[in-house]
Amino acid sequence: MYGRICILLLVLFSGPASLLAQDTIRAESIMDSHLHRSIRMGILLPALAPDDSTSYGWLDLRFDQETGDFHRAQQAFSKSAIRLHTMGFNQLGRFRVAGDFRFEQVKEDSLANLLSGEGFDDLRPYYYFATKHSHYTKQGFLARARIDYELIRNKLALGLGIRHRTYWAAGTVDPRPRVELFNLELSPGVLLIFDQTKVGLDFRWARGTEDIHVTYKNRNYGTGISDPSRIRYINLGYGTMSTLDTASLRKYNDLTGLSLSFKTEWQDWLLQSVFVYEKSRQYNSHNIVRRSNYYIRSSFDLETIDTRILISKETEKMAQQIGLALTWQDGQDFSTALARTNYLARASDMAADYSVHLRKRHRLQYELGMKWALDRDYRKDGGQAHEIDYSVHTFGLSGGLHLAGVKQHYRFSVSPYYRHPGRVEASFPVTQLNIFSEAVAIPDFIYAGAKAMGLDLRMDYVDKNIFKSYETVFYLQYGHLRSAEKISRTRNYFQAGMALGL
Amino acid sequence: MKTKFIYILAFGVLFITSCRKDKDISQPVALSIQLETNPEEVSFDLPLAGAEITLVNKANGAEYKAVSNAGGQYAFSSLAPGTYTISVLLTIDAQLYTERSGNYTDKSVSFSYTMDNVSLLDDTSITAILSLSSQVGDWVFKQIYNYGSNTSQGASFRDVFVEIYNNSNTTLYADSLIFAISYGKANNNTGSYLLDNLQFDWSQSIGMTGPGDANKDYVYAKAVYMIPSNDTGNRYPVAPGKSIILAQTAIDHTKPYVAADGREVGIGDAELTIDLSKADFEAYQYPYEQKTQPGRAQYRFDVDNPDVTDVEVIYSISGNRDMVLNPQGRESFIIFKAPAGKDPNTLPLYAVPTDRDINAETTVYQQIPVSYILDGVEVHHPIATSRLPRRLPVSVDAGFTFAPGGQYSGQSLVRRTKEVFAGRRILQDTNNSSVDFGYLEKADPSKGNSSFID
Repeated sequence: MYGRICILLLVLFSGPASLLAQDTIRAESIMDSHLHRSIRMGILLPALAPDDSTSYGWLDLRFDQETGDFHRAQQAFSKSAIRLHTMGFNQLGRFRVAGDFRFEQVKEDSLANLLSGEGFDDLRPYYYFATKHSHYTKQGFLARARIDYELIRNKLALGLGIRHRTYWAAGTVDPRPRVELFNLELSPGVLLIFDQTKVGLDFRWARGTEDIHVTYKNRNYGTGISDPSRIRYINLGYGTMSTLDTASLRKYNDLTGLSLSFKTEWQDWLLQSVFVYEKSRQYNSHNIVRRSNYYIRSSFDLETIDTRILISKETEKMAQQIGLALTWQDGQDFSTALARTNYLARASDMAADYSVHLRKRHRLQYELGMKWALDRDYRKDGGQAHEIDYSVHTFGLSGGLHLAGVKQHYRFSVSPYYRHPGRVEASFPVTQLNIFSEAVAIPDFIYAGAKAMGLDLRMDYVDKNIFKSYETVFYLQYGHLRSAEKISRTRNYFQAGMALGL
Repeated sequence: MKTKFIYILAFGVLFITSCRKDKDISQPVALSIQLETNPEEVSFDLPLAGAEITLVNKANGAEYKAVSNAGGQYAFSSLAPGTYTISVLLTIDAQLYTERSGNYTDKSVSFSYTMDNVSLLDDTSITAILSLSSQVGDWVFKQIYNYGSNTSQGASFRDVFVEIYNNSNTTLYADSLIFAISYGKANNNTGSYLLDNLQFDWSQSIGMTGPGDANKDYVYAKAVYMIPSNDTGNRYPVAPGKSIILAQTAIDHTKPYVAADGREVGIGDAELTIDLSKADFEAYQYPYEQKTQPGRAQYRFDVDNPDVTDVEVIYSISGNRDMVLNPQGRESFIIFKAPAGKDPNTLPLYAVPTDRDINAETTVYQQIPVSYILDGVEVHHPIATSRLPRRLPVSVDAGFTFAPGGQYSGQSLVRRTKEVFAGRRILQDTNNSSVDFGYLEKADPSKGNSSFID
């Protein structure tokens, strides 16, 4: 069933993009990372699209693998994934059609402490966990589409976006979860055009559900406590938990928000920025029969501000780009049992990067870059008196070399980076320690405080002979991260893929 | 322009990275406990220091232990808000008790307090009135196998039994010894006609009469089984350190057998279950059913082994068609003997207090005075979240017990051996099953060394 849906959506989204991409801009510049970054920022936000872009298509199929013991407590020791990503847009008279489709199938090995479909860095509480390491298969797709109609030429356009996400996950070791997530978002918007400046305003409204069922093949694990590793817990905050509580959960997600996007061009400069504000509420229930008047055990409110700015400047000699990103999330729960808030969660991520592409029109080209990122994570569980406040800086440099030919193009890059903990504060009172503290909170505290060095190596090969109309990219990437601890831990990353510039 | 940009950026960074920590959220709560004694039981100065206080968080099973100070106090300063079970056990040395009370005893004396479903959402102070919970009888439960075995490969609920032990130094007679399954509320819902711990307030049962406290002085049973006797009461002697086994169905469960309806009951894995064909007694309920519900078809698993003596069914609710012991810890168990001249068949019957419309179809439970009880064991679910309000008064069992494997695990509850004297095992009987009982990975009806926890 999932396969059929995926194929259908693939055809729907990648088909039009490839067919309509005959006027693809700068098809020869598939290795122009600055250009691609600028265009991709504006695929589903037409206000950000560069003026000279009328169509774009991209299809990427890749294999990812990461493995190693330097990971967080709710992260798998080993993870491999097959991912398909296709996106594109085209201008058809007064209409602009855009789509973005992503599919992934993930296999995780030796994952403990998280019986959830979502990732380990989700701020939302109310999920199952068990200390038993297990194998998981996860599969999901995210389909986004948008259509805009230029109501007044070069002045005003109206648009409607739709976003659909489905995710499915299952474990194969007791306790074995089965997770099904569904989410649908609509985003009507308006686009104002003032010469080379565009301003877009979109409203967002989304609803979704997530059902989680935990079963045991050996039923004794679910009715006793003989094997502590098989006990399923529900994490209700950051330490507050219940043991072998209900075997089924349902989450109802509501989201409203808006995004304000702004783009302007002046001579060689291009400024793209987007500001997104979202307010979501998740109702958590164990009542899986009713879809109305269900019992609410807790709710979780999350406010998110996401801002991205991209400044590009291109001349004959060089192309420069500065990227700034800032995400801020603030959440709190409300526990029905306690009749008050028990859990606070905040995350703020900042990133800045600068890169320069030299001798872009030459056979031998160079890229240089630097980046900095700060990730901060704050959680507080009032009743359990657990509190963490972590921040991690990442400093990185990158260097790339292009060998550009008429039919072939090679790119080699190396990116060393350094991970340096900033604030690493935690409070877990001895009287309040429990299995979550020991299995998750304390190992994550150790992880947060670890310095580490990393190195990414990447090679791209572009061939223009395979398809006449498209450029084909083959790429390989290898990454190694090593902690600077007494007994160092490592994490290795490998990626191999193929992409088509349509 | 450049300066302004830097200021804006710096402000943004500060805004984003600053973490507001001033929201009003729940906090750990404090609990102070003051121990006191019941003046009706203790008229002398009893030292309250050294009492073991145990709190169990019912949501996650987190357990906190502390010891009271000289003033009989203890304060827990940091507990997660939630619902707790509070237990207190004060053990007084025999010599000290004799000195203070003036009553000679050669055994230590226990005082206890327990309360279920205590809601701690704010700082709380509790006065715990300790009750005397001394050993009352020489008959004790040695082994309780209520969990049953694997439902598909074992014998499920059919291979359960209880083993009753002579813990004295003289021969006792099992004649007229009664085993009863006590009943209580099957959930933790709030509502009317309930005690603070959410158990039924039996004093509000319709028609409740009689002396004493309906909740503290009585136990309510859903099924009552009595070992038969002869005229002299010496038909079934049990030597010191020996025991008798009462089985639900006294057959060899490791082999296929024919059920009461003529169909075969198979066995998938004989290792998972046990041979009960050597049991001393068996509950065969069909004759009782024919008396109370004439014409009712025989329950297919209520199989009679003619080689094993049947116990007399004194009382059973209609839904209980054999001596089925609840595998989820929703029932507790007692043994008692009615005093001379008292016919246990005449013990009164009451409906639960939430039944306000009593008619012939209403389920009623037999009321058994605590003063008759020789031993009782409060059994709970291994998972704290699933535990129900306790059924037995603390004077019968100051604690509770469970086997970690829970239902259909094949595990059994076994009273620990306190000491071996002249080759005879004396089992631990502090009247607190939390400390008196352990468990066997597999129930053992052999009565041999392997059936003890030494």
